Amino acid sequence: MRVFPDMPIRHKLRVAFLGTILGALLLACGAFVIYDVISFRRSLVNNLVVITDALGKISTATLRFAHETEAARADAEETLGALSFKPSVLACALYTEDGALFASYVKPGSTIPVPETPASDGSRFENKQLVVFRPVILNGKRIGTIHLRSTLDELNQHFESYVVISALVFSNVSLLAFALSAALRHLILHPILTLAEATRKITGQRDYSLRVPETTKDETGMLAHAFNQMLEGIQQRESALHSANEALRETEERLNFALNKSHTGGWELDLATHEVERTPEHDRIFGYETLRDRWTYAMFLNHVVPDDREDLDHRFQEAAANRSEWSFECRIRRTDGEERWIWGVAEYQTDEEDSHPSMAGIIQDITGRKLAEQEIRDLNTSLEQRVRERTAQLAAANQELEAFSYSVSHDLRAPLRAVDGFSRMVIEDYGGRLDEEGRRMLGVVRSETQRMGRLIDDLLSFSRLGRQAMQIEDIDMQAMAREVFDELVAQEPPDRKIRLELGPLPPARGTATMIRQVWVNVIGNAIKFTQGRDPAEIEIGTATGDSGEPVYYVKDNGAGFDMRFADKLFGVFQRLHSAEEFPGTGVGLALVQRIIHRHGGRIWAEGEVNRGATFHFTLPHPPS
Amino acid sequence: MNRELEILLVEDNPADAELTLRALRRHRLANRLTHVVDGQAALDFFFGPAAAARPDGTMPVLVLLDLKLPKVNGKEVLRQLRADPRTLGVPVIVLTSSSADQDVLETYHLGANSYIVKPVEFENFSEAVHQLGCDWLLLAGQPGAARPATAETPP
Repeated sequence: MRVFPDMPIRHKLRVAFLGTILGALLLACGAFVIYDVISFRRSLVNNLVVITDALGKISTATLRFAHETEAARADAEETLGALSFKPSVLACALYTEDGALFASYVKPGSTIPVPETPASDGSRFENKQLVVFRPVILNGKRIGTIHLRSTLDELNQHFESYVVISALVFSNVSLLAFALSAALRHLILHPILTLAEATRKITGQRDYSLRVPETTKDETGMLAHAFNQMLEGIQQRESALHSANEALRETEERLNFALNKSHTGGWELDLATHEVERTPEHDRIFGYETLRDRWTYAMFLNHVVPDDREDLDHRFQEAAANRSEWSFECRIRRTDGEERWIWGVAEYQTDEEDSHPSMAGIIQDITGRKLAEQEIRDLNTSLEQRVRERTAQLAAANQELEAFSYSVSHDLRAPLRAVDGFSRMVIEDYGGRLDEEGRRMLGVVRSETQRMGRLIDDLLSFSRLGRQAMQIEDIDMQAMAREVFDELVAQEPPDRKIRLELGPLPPARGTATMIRQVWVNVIGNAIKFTQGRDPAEIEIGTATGDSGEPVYYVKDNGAGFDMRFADKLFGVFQRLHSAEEFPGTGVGLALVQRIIHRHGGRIWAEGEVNRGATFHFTLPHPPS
Repeated sequence: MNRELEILLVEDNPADAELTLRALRRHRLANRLTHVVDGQAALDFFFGPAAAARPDGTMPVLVLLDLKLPKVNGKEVLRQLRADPRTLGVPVIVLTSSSADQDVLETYHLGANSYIVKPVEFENFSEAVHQLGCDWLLLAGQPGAARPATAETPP
């Protein structure tokens, strides 16, 4: 029975308070009563002994003469009869020296007689009555014995009144204590009950912002304070936990969003049971509209096409054994029978005790990508095939061109040599027999055959350019332009006046012999087409192109050209001037354009008839 | 110089051959000139029965070699000449249609001593000979210079 420990505190307090007070009171009252009864009895005995002794004293005279007269007896009996004023005395007797009853008094109505002979001296309680025997002494000599019997009514009355008073005191004190306890209890209990109520509320509502009032500075006050501090701590932790949970939830939402939008399925495979937890997208990838009740590794393997199964399983076992990453690409047969490609990657995971190892990962349907890859592979294959075919065709064409060049340089030249040589032989051997006109005509034959020789030479060098190897190196464009200009001017008649303005030219990268050929042709043209200008003005400089690259230009004040024919400038054998005006084969600028194009650059020209021309070109290889 | 002068001209084009012969003859250098018209004939000249019939050590002092030849081309002839110790030292001048010809470079690698752009005129011939250090050829050929007492090849 755990009654007391389980009682509410207020009852405990009441029990303790009242119990203490009433217990103490009870004890005190009892002690008082017992003490009083004992002392009252003693005083009662003393009283009676005194009365007895007094009676004895009074009776000495009569007792001395007891043997002599009857009158003495009557006298003694009268003396004893005086005791009737004391109602508690039941009987009284006087005995002579030799122990004979001399005189007696018995309270009227009392049935108990006085004893015939005296008992031993002293006082004693017998049958709820006090019995006293005292010696009667005269001059130090015993002359008889006196006996008195009394009721204990006085004692009983005294005791009864005492009990009544005690009961009254007890009940009043109890009431007072009860009232006091109620007040004190409120004082002590209120803070505790408030605390209890607060805890009940907090437990019920989980509202950690509540606080307990701290009204006192005693232990309950300290308790309330400590409780509030604890609440503060809990509230802070609660709020931290809440925001952490919030952040976690947001992260999870984002993750889910990403997984859903990218059609990525998430899963976690328990390595002990091979049971798999998945997201709905995971099952959708396998063709299931809704999440299945259960999914296992074996079910997954069943979906994998047989050809891929063994390798996949092998790699999974390996990853699980090595606790490493497991990534795979395989074909699956969906529940609707369609074959799809999937890709997955997973990581080995375990808890601190290493009791729940698992593989957690994602999968994606990559059929689209696979198809695209296949398409690209096919395209690449056919492209490579076409490149091979084209390359072969190109190689064949090149070979033909080479054969053609060879043929041109050898076979075409042979008859020319013969025409030229034999014309000369005619002039040398038979010149004397020809008139002036005949010799002139033979001269024309010779000069034209020589011109054709030059045409063939130019054409050959043009066609060879395509086969010439590139050797990209740094070129000091300014020095090269200067050198070419000086060489070309040296071949001009000494009376020509040519003014050159050569701006600083940034360096370039290219095949030096080819770039030099560009300068030779472009500067050569400028010198050629400024014939008759006095002075001829040639400007070589650079500008900055659209993408920041340097644009070299050569500008002259010569014959210029009609912009309508600008597109013909760079064609082979295309000429905008007659051979009589300006000699040339029409190959030079075609050659220049070919060199610039081989370097990845551009060339273009501007001009106006009789107002000069400007040739621009770029070389995109920046200096190293 | 007591050696007999002998120049071997290997040239299939009759017009070119005539022009060459004319240029050399005008400088009286053609008196001991042998003209063959294909590569095989040129090789026979050095290694065939005719060569064996010649007195030992009488190699031509100079070969003028066209490259485009019937049967065996000029480069092959040159290669074989340079592969044989007997002909290893014979000076060879390559005849070419153009100085820009890729073949010229190749023939240098094969061991040609010089080249002349056709038509072979005396001026460029003398230049090539000068390069070879065979100036005595020219002195011998100068009109009025001392000449070996051999009969001039009939024109």
